[in-house]
Amino acid sequence: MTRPLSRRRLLTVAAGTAALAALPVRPASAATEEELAYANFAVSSELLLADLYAKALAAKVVIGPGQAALRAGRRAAIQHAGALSGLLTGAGQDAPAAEDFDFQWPAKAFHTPDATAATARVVLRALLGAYQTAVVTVSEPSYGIVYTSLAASAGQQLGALSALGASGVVEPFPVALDLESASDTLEPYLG
Amino acid sequence: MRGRLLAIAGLVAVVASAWLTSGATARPSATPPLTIYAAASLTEVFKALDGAQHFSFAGSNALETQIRNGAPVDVFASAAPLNTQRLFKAGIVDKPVTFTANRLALIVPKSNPAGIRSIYDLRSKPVKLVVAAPAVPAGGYTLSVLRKMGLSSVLSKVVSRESDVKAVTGKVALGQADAGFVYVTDARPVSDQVSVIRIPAWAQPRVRYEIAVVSKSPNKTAAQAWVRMILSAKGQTALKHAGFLPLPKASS
Amino acid sequence: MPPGELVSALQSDVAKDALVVTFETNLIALALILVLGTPTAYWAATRQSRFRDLVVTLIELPLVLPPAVAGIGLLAAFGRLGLLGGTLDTLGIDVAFNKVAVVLAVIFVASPFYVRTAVSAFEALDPTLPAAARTLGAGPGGVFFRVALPLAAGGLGAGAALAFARGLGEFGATIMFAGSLQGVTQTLSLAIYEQFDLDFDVALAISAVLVATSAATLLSVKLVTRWRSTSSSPIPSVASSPLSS
Repeated sequence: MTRPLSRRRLLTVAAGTAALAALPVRPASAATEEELAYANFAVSSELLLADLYAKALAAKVVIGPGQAALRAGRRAAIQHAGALSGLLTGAGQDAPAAEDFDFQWPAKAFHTPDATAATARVVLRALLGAYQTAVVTVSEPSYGIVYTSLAASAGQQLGALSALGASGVVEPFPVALDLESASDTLEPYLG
Repeated sequence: MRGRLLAIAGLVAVVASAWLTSGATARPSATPPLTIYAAASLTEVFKALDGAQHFSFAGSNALETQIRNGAPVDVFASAAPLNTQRLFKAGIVDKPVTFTANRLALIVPKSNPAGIRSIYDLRSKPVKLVVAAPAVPAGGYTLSVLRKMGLSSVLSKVVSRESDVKAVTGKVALGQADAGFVYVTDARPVSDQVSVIRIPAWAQPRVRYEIAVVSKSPNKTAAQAWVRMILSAKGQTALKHAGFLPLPKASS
Repeated sequence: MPPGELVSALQSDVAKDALVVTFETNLIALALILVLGTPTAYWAATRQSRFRDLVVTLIELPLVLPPAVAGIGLLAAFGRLGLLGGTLDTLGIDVAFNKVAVVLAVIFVASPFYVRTAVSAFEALDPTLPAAARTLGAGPGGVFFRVALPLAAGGLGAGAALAFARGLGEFGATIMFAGSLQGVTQTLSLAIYEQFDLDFDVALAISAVLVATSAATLLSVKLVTRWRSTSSSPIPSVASSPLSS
């Protein structure tokens, strides 16, 4: 993000977060197990994404606007994980935390801005694909709104990869993935 | 005849008493072996770590009941916190400590009669599925995995609920069952008889093993030393080699 | 435990399913044991074949085998990878994790109790009686059904009761070979094992049923033996006839 942080922007972001958090999530009985399976996959994958951004920032090879993009992406991923955890605990399931995982990144995943962008593309595409399927699978409208919002954010983050010097991703019809395919794609990283 | 009978009886008595007391005099300086009740999945690794102790391996819930009903045990190692915590609340064991973690896997016989390649195949193909009973930790974790993946409908394919996870492993290894949910550590000793299908990390439940010294143990010092050994580098390395997971950095 | 609680514990699904499974499988097993075991016992008791001892040893083998070994034996014979597994598969007979498996396990462990007692019962028959029947024109079948069987009925009944009681209590072979699933293969013994740390009252109630059934079985053995022994003693006039050997 290139615009300086102003009071108005801060309030807008806060309002958006509050709106997301205030979404009416119906009680557990309304959510089917398959809808929650997407939430289970997504919360783990958002934690994976947050770890990706954190490791990319720690590698210190991306500078300038790219760094801001990474930081914003990390904040988004953490907030997404929080919202999804809320869905799960509200439905009576346990939500995993970052320390439950041993994320595995290839050796040179964050050595250059290009490599970082390529790694991020894999994870974001898988998430975006899964969210698209989740939106049409869930019967619970409030869940559908959450997944749509998260899908949109994943799309924005894919575009923001242009700040890393790589070309941002623009596809006419991003591929929708079923849970099994999305899970297979991220399995090497989820550990 | 009576004299001969008496002589034989006397000989038997002497031999028997010599045998019974030999355990006590064999190593005069060694402590008596501890009685350790441990979850079935710990069978190979605990025996390899310290073959000198007396072990009883079974489902953690069955062991909990036996200890609760007064079994003379020194140490209890459970595959789920529930069993040790319940005994702790009842004042039967001292404060339990988490000592290792594990993961679940789906195993199929090497011949794979039902042609299962992924967990999702369980839903679409006819399969004789064997799981541990719900009260057994492995059974509870299996239910968690299926719930997280949205695959609880697969439970309609269960043909047997076993009393511990080794029984599940055995039935799959023998080819009697088409598939079974066990810990990844259980698949290792039978790796030539079964194939392992990984369960994704996002579907794994939080598996935590806890160990505790039984409060009324007559060998408390030795028991506490044994528990310390399990928590030490020696114990933790052995567990890691067997396929158990290290505890996460911020352990619960 | 007050009787009211016992009855309500027995009305739980677990107990009811276990009762149905146990009695279904055990009655079928008993019927098969009687049908197959009686002729075998008669043959072993009356023929002096070389194979007699071998057959009797084989039949009595499960008596000395620990139930777990019996379970392994059944798997080795009828399991998917066992001796007969392939044959059963091609015949379309499914012997895994169902009531057929339970019946097989019960037959395996309980039949020696019946056959042993039946052999003794047939051996105890006064040989002059079947001989007399043959001289009166009865064929071997007639001798068996109309002379030997009624006379040995007391011993056979006692053997059947023993076999039934043994079958009711079978645990190890069943759980290894047939598995345990409520309503399908979970017998009373398996249900007790599962319930004793889940709902002790149900386990206790089921145990009470087993104890009562076992006691009733033993009592019936005593009564039947006493009743038949008074009516199957040889008739003195026939024993002293010139036909006796």
